[in-house]
Amino acid sequence: MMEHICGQCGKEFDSEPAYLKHSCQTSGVAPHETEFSPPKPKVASTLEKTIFTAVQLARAKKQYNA
Amino acid sequence: MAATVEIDEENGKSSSPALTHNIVSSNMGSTDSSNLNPIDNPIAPGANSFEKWQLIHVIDMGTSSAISNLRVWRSGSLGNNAIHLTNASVNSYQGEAKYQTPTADTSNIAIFAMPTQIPGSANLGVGGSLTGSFTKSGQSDFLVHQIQTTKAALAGSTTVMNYQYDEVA
Repeated sequence: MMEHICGQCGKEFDSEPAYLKHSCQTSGVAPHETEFSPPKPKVASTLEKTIFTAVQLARAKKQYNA
Repeated sequence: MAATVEIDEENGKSSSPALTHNIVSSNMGSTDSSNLNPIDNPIAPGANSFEKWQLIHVIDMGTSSAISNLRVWRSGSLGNNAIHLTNASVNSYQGEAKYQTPTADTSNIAIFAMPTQIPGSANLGVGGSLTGSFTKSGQSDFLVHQIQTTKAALAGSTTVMNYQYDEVA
């Protein structure tokens, strides 16, 4: 079995997954942060919503006038 | 999110090796150890350093689709009485080197001059090939390198190792 050593903090591990999950005291992070968040769908800001509503109203008005 | 990549170094007997992840330095010296102290472990004039067996380890691809074109080189001069040899080569790459117990005898794997400027293309392989690439986590071929000196060698050279790759989003 291969020994795994963290080059930053010097801790020794029996496996690579154990190394990847450890919280390194020197770097302050785990080598592999497993909590990867996919990009969230974009939510329109209040300003965008206001502009969108204004454009819709203007288009509706234009149709009415035509 | 960019890929998570580290440089690792393997040491010890081939029957019971140890892999140091995310090494702090690539100091060369008279002992088979990662992150060694060169003042405590100097290379005697006329002797060789212990071989370094290092690799590029992709821990996580992140949102990247591929990592390829691995290039290694040294910046800075060693002086007139020392040479730096490696298995990395653009034109004569011998394929994947299987781990052997690092030696301070003249290496039979590190046989090409270490480039002193960025190579024009890959000189370290993935899966034994210079055109190989990562599409998931994994390790590159071993980069083996060694410093060899003559008795006229003087102490005091400090140089920098460079490791580069292309990451495709």
